[in-house]
Amino acid sequence: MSSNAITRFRKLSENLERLRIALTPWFRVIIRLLALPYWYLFKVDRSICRIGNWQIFKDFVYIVCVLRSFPGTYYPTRLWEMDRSEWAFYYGSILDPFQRAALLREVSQYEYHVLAKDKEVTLRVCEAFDLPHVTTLAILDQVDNYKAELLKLLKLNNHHKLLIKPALGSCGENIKLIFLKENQVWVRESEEVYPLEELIINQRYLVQPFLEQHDDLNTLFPHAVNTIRAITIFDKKRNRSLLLGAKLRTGTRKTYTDNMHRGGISIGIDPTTGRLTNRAMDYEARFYVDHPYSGIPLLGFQIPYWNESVNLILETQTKIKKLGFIGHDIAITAQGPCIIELNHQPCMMGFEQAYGPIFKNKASWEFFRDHDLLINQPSRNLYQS
Amino acid sequence: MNLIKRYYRFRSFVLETIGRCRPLVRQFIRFLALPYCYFRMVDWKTCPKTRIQVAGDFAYLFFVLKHFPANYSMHRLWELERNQWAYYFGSIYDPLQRYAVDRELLPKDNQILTNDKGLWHIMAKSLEIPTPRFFGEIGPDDGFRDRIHSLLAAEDVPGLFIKLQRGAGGRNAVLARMIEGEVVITDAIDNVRTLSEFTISKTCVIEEAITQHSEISAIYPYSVNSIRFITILTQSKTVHEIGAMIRFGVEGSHVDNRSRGGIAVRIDLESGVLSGNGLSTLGIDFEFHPDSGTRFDETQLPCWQQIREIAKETQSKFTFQKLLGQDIAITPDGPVIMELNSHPDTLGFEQVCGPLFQNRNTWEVFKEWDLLISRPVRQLYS
Repeated sequence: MSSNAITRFRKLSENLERLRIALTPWFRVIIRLLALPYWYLFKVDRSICRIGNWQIFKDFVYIVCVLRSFPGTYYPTRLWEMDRSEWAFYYGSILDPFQRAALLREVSQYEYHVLAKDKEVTLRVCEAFDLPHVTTLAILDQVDNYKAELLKLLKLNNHHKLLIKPALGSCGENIKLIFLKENQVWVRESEEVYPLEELIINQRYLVQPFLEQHDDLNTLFPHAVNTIRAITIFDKKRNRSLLLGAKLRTGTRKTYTDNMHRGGISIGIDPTTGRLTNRAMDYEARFYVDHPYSGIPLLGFQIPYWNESVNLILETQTKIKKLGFIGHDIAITAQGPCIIELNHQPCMMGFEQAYGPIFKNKASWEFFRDHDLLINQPSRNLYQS
Repeated sequence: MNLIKRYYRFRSFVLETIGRCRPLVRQFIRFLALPYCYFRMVDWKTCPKTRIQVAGDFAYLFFVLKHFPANYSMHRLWELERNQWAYYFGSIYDPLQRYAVDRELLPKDNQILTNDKGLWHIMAKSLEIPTPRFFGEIGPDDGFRDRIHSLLAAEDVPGLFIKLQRGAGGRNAVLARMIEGEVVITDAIDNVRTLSEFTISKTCVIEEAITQHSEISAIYPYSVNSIRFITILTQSKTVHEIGAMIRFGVEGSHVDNRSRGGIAVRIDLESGVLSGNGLSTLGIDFEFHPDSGTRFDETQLPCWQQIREIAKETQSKFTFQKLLGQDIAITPDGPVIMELNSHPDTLGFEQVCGPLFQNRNTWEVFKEWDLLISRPVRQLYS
């Protein structure tokens, strides 16, 4: 009787948990609906999108009601410039409630996110699987004598520059550059520069040397490591990894990071050749033909070691299959590609902005269909005829 | 932008509030379960107190010490003065204790690193922590029988341990051995099956069934008798050893888990000598091992200083969890870490090793991490 009561209680809590999981996306949808007017009024630049407010309104309604997405992608991917039938080829944001719930359920279990979320865990996993990754010289936190340690690392290893990255950071936030200048050690954080003595850290940081990237990428933009962002998914049914696409990110204004949030631009990569495509955009959805810093034409620019990079990306996904959906940040050095970091929730919106719609590749669409990841009718109907 | 920032601030406030309320809700559910504990979990045959006295003790434990009184019978608290009860940490699963421990020492995100045994092996490989050889994972649909057969045929191993990837307490662990060219599977309660009769319903990990040190085998040869060593990382990143006990299987079982009938004996941390008698979960005292007749008290464990070193090194390397229950086996070549437990069973541990806060250093480390839940516990040593 008593063990029955415990079993019943456990079943009840399991059912409550299931209910919570089922209701969460709907709850999130309501919050997003409340945010719609704000997006409509302030997140579409009318000087670039000149189709009129009524048309924008109708497009928003279509995206919400038919594509079951939040129109956060509307402006960055410049959807107004294309026919509505093309919109279904876009997956949209991974943070959209239904998309997110389906991904968490089918391919990217929440509890394994730590493999990419915590950079120290990523480092350990890469080490265990012999995957080439950027060297980590030390892991420091507020308890350590970090200033002395950084000074020592800077001088002992003869590195001119070090990057320190928070183990739990994202979007390039709180990444600091430590460098020697005129016999003094300085810290650069975004636009601010201050002496090392003033550095205060309050979380776990990974200390890494500033990578020397491949000369070809240096010609494009030399002040930041220009990384490849590739997105892969692991197909459990067929036990293989699938490359959804890739883009190159480059810095623009002497920033030491290449993140789009920090002013960088992204350019799509043709996965078969490793050459840049004509889709080059910044965070504000402005197009580029030449690199704004070096003036080098972007279309056709060849990424060095492309085949090796693709092999590394697929190998990483296959080995780390517990995390079924990965955004890989890959740097190319003179010796070949190496992993900078992995992302458990790669920004699909920014990705499709540069790479283009992922369902243009039928294999990607088939994977999403087979794993029940297509959440609206138009995308389910693609390729049906 | 401000609006979005404000929304996120509000959202994190709501989530934080829910997080804070969760242990209170759980404590309330336990309050509802108090009558069950009172009627079913007290050994009334051995408890000399009256029902009213026990009810008073329960109220003191629940409302003053903020424990669910599951440890009342287990720790025979009726034999002690109430002021001695505060030296017990109690169960790590008690809501308030668990909330504090998870908040400070065991971030929820990191718990998978030890709860998933396959992932633990990956982490151990990278951190160079000695473990039994790991042969990967098998699932119900990936030809696991062929895999087991080929591993046993090809590898120089005495046997394979097949455990649930996410199991605990030795549940569903089986031993696969090659006997006269046939693969034989033995489960925890000694049922023997052929490979074709063996099925798995969830992902499992395959490890080498290690050969243990002869001195440990002499006490009980059929299971790998492992040491449960609990360590905690201090705020200054030094390792504090909370205590250690060793567990032995009984009656031919090939697992040593106490939940499967095993016996545990306290280990003196300084010397590595067994101290006192063995105890089963039911509190039955064993001066000698029931199978081999070996006397537990004053038996010296082999490789003890090496074991301590490895336990401390593991805790200092594996900083993702600042409190670890380490299961250590002793092989002829030295100790290996079998697995790490993110929420070691402190209730059973205190039953064997005595109250955690008897050691003032342990109390101080818990205080430093703000893990002391009730006032009487906070006032110890002050």
